[in-house]
Amino acid sequence: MRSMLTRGPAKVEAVITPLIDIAMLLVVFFALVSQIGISDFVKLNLPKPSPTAAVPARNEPRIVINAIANNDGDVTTWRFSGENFTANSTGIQSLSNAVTAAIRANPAAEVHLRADANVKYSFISPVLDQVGKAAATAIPEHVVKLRLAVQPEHQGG
Amino acid sequence: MAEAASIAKALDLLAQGKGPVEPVWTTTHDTLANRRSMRRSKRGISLNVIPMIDVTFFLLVFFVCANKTLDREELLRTDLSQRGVAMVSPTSLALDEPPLRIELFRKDNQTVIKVLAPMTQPNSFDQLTEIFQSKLYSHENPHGLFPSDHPIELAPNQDVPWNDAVAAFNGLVRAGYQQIHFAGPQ
Repeated sequence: MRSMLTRGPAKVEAVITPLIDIAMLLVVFFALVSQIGISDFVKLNLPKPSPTAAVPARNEPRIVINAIANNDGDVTTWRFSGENFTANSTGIQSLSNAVTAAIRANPAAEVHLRADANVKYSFISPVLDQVGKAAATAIPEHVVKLRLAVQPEHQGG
Repeated sequence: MAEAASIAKALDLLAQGKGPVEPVWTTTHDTLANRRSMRRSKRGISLNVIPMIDVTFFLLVFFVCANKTLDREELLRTDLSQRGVAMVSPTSLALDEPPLRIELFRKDNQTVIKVLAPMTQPNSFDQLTEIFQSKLYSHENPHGLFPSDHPIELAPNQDVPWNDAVAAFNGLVRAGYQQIHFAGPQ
């Protein structure tokens, strides 16, 4: 009887380790997804056609090509899948090879072209050519689903 | 009254230096259990996890919002084929039609639209939409010249800004055409 009284209160433990595990997993997941997004989506001043016929992006596999330009509208760098390619014939050829590999790996992927509004078409056209050729090289008679990224006017900047 | 007497007795014993008297429990097992549980509830162990949950959900909301912001842009849809090949669905009876070519070039720091067909030339991208809408063949407009799948080749000149090339493309999509493709630079 006496030992029962002097034993003291029962030990109560809240098992929060699984909770912390899950929380941290979620945080890491979203951090990584966010990083992927940042590497794919370079901040650009996209064209703003108004009123636009564009549609919101769907959750489909995509290959994103970014054209990074200077103030004169000359593309200095092409960025694809987190890798930079210089805007000369060698760089565009390397970009084409990378796009070929990406299309071969994922034939259903859409190709998203993101370019500044002031970029001259002379820089865009060779890349469109190369992407078309890359698709044909990857899969014969494959038609690339090209998507032109625009910024809806109502969302501002 | 009985309690007061026992307290007085205990005080007397303390004064005599005999120390506290062990209480003699004559209660039942249930009473003991009740007392123990009451004592536990008074001491109560609390673990404050609320700030941690707050911070975790704050981080989650932040990253979800950051992702949503990145996805806000919209897309104009087209298909990219070999240059110069119109994207007409081949059927056994259909003949390939030559694409209607629309050229864009710069003049006096402005982009000029030139439709290579005997029709009114548009002065703006809105007018391009209006003109091509009026030429679109449909049940409502049986006098239209072009069906919605008529191939259109958009040929911007080298110095035309991408914004204007996209604006022309957008204008034709708004007019209802589905087979619009970019040509190589002139």
